[in-house]
Amino acid sequence: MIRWLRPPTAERQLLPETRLSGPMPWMLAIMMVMTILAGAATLAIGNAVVRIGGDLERRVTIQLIEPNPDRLEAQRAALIVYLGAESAILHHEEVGAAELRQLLAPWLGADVLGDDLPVPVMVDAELRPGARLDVIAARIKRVAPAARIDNNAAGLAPVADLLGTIRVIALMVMVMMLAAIMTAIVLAVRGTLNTHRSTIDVMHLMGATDAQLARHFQRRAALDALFGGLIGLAVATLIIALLGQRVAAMESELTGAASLGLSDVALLTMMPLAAAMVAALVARVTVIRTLRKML
Amino acid sequence: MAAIYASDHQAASIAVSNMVIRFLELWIMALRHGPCCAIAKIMSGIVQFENVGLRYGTGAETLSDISFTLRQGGFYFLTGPSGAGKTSLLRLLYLAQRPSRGMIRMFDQDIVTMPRDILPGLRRKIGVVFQDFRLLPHLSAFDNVALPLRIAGVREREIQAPVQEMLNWVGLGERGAARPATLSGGEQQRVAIARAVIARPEVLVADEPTGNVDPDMAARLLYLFDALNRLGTTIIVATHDLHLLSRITSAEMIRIDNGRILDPTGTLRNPPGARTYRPQ
Ligand SMILES: Nc1ncnc2c1ncn2[C@@H]1O[C@H](COP(=O)(O)OP(=O)(O)OP(=O)(O)O)[C@@H](O)[C@H]1O
Ligand SMILES: [Mg+2]
Repeated sequence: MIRWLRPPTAERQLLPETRLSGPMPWMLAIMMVMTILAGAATLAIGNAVVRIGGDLERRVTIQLIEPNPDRLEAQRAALIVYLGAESAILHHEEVGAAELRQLLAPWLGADVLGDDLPVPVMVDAELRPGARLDVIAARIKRVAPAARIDNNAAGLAPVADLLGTIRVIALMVMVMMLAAIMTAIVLAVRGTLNTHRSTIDVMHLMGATDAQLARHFQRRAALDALFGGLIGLAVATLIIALLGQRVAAMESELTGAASLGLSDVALLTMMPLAAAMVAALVARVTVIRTLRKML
Repeated sequence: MAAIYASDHQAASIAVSNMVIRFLELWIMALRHGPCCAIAKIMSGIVQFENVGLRYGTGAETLSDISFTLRQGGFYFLTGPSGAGKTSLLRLLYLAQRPSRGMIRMFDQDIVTMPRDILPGLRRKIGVVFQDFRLLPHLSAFDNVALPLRIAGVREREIQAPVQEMLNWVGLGERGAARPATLSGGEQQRVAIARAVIARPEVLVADEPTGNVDPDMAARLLYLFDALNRLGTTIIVATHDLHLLSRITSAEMIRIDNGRILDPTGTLRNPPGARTYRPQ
């Protein structure tokens, strides 16, 4: 790679070395910030969607609402036994009466909640990944007909939908930015080809091959893209770090779910390199196609 | 002159081995296909034009019915009034242009129908002095002269000495670092000539190569061409300068006017003492 970026003098002498000058690398840097941010958003929101779809969906709350205390107690006991025996339930935990009262107090007022007011039984359970909620629910209904099963994620479904949509949009923005970057490179290469047209003619007449000329342009485009990509990455990292701080400060489970894993960070870090490679390829194709029209 | 090519043992030995190889080729050909075929190859020449016409755009033909053969190792002057079509003819020779009609063979290749990707290989065998020099403005005189070698992939340490020697020969040994824009017209022309001959081409095409230099320098440059010619390079020089014509006694002359070769039926006029040139 290094050798390729720093060719022997002979190759460098062929055309004027104009890289890292002019607005091109800076424009690429700006576009790369956008691209990396869009990429980060795609990945982070993707993580959130997975988290909601996975963790939250697997957590259910079972409520027993039964006015008759005896029947309530009987069903509670049956439910606990069943949950303990069911292999699709990873673990379960009954929410204690005291805790429940605390939860309810703000709604009903502490004085109303005497010992005589029947408090429902609540059990939190976590399903084994891949377990089917409807099957489990049917079985629970059989042992405890008074059970009402709440899927925590059910309430989050619209949020998950929204996140999914935002994710698709972020992905589209990223793809469009990449397309814009490639177009910019094509235009820049064509411009340079025009500027150096007479030089290229002379070099052709001296027996330079299209590949020789293309190598020069593709190296230049790759260096521009790499430079722009690294600057873009630095700026984008700053923005993401700032945003991450704000999100952490919110201490919300939902926003916390939208985080970047190590592999995501690695992927984003690779983007400048990928951009350089794509830029080289685009430049090569552009140059060869243009040169082929000459004699 | 000896300093440039002859002291270079490599050059001499390459020239000799080229001749030996060529001789062996002809010998094998004579054995295989009979002597007539070998003679035909010698006679067919390195460049053949047959009824070549060239038209720029949709106007009248700039060149018409051009037919001639250049012998390998020959020295040719192309003369004719301004606008006669000398540069146009040379452009066909250095493969900057395909003809509108007719047949051109060079290096045993049909130039009209050949695929584009063999062009670089053929062009590396041709040295060109352009009428308007066409030096690369961003390169120093040294790098301009070194360009054909670099394009051909010659290693850097094998470039320094020959290029410097060539610059010395054309009287620009001290100006190697200068950009073309800072050189006089004659100096630029000498850089262009050095660039054309540095890679010891098989064919040298020079378009008014002495138009901007004093008579002494012109004689010196012509001597360079002559030396190259003795090493086997076929040379064709377009010029108005009648003094030049008399300097190379072995040279043949092609005269064109109005896009046609003059005296198409008879013998072309030659410099005193030279062979006669017969168009095909
Ligand atoms: N690229 C071109 N497009 C159109 N016409 C051209 C082109 N190049 C040359 N011509 C025309 O072809 C004719 C021959 O031009 P050419 O340059 O070959 O002449 P020349 O013999 O080299 O003249 P000079 O001695 O002045 O250099 C001229 O009439 C010129 O106008
Ligand atoms: Mg001319």
